[in-house]
Amino acid sequence: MGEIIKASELDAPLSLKTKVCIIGSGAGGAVLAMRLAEAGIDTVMLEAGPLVSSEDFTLREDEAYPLLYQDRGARVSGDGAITIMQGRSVGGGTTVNWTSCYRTPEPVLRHWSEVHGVKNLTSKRLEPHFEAIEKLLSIAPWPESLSNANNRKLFTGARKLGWQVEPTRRNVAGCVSSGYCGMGCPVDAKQAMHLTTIPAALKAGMTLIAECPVLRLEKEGARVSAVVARAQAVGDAEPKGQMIRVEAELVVVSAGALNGPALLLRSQINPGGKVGKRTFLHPVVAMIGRYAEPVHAFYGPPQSVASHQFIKPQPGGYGMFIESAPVHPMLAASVLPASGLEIADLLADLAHMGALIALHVDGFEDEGGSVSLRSGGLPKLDYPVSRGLAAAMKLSHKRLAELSLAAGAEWVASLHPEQMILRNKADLKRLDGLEYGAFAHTIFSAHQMGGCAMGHRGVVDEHFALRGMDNLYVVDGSLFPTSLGVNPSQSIYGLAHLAAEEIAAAVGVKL
Amino acid sequence: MLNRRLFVKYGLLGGCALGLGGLGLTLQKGRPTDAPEGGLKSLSPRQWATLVAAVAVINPGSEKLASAVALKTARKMDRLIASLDTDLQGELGLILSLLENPIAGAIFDGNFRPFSSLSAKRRSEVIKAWQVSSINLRRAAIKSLLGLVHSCYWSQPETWAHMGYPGPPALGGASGG
Ligand SMILES: Cc1cc2nc3c(=O)[nH]c(=O)nc-3n(C[C@H](O)[C@H](O)[C@H](O)COP(=O)(O)OP(=O)(O)OC[C@H]3O[C@@H](n4cnc5c(N)ncnc54)[C@H](O)[C@@H]3O)c2cc1C
Repeated sequence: MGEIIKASELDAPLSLKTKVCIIGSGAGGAVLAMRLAEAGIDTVMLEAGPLVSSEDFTLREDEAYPLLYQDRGARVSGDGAITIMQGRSVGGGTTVNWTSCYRTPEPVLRHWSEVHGVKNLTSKRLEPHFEAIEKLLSIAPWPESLSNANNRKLFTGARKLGWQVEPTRRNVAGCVSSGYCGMGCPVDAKQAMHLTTIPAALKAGMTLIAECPVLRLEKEGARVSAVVARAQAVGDAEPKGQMIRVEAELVVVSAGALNGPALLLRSQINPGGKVGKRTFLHPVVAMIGRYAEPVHAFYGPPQSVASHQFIKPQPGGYGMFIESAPVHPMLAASVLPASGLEIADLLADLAHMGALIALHVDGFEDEGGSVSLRSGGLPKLDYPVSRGLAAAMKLSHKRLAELSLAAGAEWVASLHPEQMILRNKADLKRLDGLEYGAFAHTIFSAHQMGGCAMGHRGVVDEHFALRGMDNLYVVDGSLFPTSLGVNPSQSIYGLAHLAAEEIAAAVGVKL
Repeated sequence: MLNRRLFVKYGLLGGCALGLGGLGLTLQKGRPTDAPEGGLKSLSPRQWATLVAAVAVINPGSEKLASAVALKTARKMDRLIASLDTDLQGELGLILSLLENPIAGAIFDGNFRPFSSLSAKRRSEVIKAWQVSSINLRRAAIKSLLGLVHSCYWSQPETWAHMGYPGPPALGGASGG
């Protein structure tokens, strides 16, 4: 059994030597760690956030977001226009995500091959890895009969309109439909990394150091000679505990999009000046629908249905897909651009409110955003909402409204400060009178991708190795040369499962 | 228009510097507000006064719904902000300073007094105006502020009955039951 160290409890600096050091314990880092540790490779994992369990999940939003999310749940793009939801605890995003699982779509892999020169990631090569992950994490379609009312509205509306719609597959075992995936599963049903691959890696001897944000990588020529971290206790604004130093033969950055590129930039590692470029978000717009009967969209699996009817590029250059979102008090209130009595009146209807989201597929005709550093070294994301994206968002508003009305909503409202309530199809054209894009309405993202794009001209080569460095690899969602058009977690699990073979080989072990 | 362009060009910091240049108005005192129980953890007394004044009109409550002031939402925010990275603390502090700033208020809104000394009605109007302002900086600033105030207020169990939210189920673990 490997050791678990809480960095904030160290009373002296810590120095370790290991074969492989993995930075980050989310979807990418954890799957990789399990495979390496199980192959007997000496592995140390460093995670900025705390080690948590269902004992810590109070299911209160004001406690969950500060504990389990980046920037205590207050992360936004550099200009403040986009709200960024991103995990920060052992398990990363998987501890708080909404469990929708998809394999990487074939057309996306083809695009990566044709446009970005990623020739060796084919469905065929990935197949056994996806299969292994599906088995390991109990990924299976969620029965329509067990969907909550909010998700059933998506089914009903899409079917009425003749739009493509399907149940999503979820990584759960023994789900009791609480609805609190986003605050940490209270019954350990979600097969998140802190319950699956990380315990497996620990069992095989891995060392896990939590509350241990990595500050920078030290270099000697083209080698990373040491990983330098500093302990940060839960609730502390900044790392101020003991220093931790890990010397490893091979270092893997699995810190996720935004944070991984920021770590590289802090370490002055920036091949081709491309680190942090091509960062994608699946930028989301939402509409709320009010139903006559209670829908209790705060309970039940938050996401179990999706429509990919509009996945091909629409006018404006972006495709999009539609899913549901949970409607908990704080999440709902924080995206509603209203104050005073207006918001109180709106929220009085919370139990009757459903929410649909449109996620835009970025990175195919656009460059997405880019990450640079704030003065203190945290990532700063610049994500320009282009005219094309704004046009796509306008169209998406219409489609979401149409869908909710078809599903029987009494009214629907967008998240514009100019409160606009639409009651029927004829009202849809009133949406033309509103502005779209940054600052016009709420935009958010729970799917950060890219920034260390793989490809023939990318930051990372086809073997997950960072260009220009001898012993530095990247295994997480930042690898994607575009967004995906489906929820990203399973693509990351699958890629990490495959990457383990390349990385093991690099330290002389055949998996 | 020139000033508007300047704001857009120089962003948040530039905007504040502009405000600070107008010393006479800037030194004008806002409404003094008592520090919260246990003292302030991140905000300056002046930022605190602005926040309290904002919170009071953002979630005024009603007969059956306790107000943000009654629920000490501003205190909760000060503590949350204190746990953020210094860069982010600085940005939120700037947002409050910007909102308070009478010189910008005078130029753009015809308010010659600091935000914290305006009437409740006027404060609500300022918030609404910022939400649809032609200055993106203002839209972003007010969006961040509203998001934080609402997060701190509507996550308090005292507000749940108003929304018909029964709260989390008791499932064992930390949720009780
Ligand atoms: C609310 C929410 C809902 C979501 N719902 C879904 C869904 O239904 N389906 C789906 O497929 N995806 C979903 N996602 C997205 C999915 O969880 C992420 O895409 C995925 O977890 C990303 O994996 P990753 O390995 O790239 O990074 P992460 O899982 O984010 O892990 C990176 C880890 O690295 C740590 N780290 C960062 N910097 C450092 C550092 N300097 N030092 C040490 N550690 C560091 C972070 O704290 C984090 O724990 C959701 C995300 C959120 C936030």
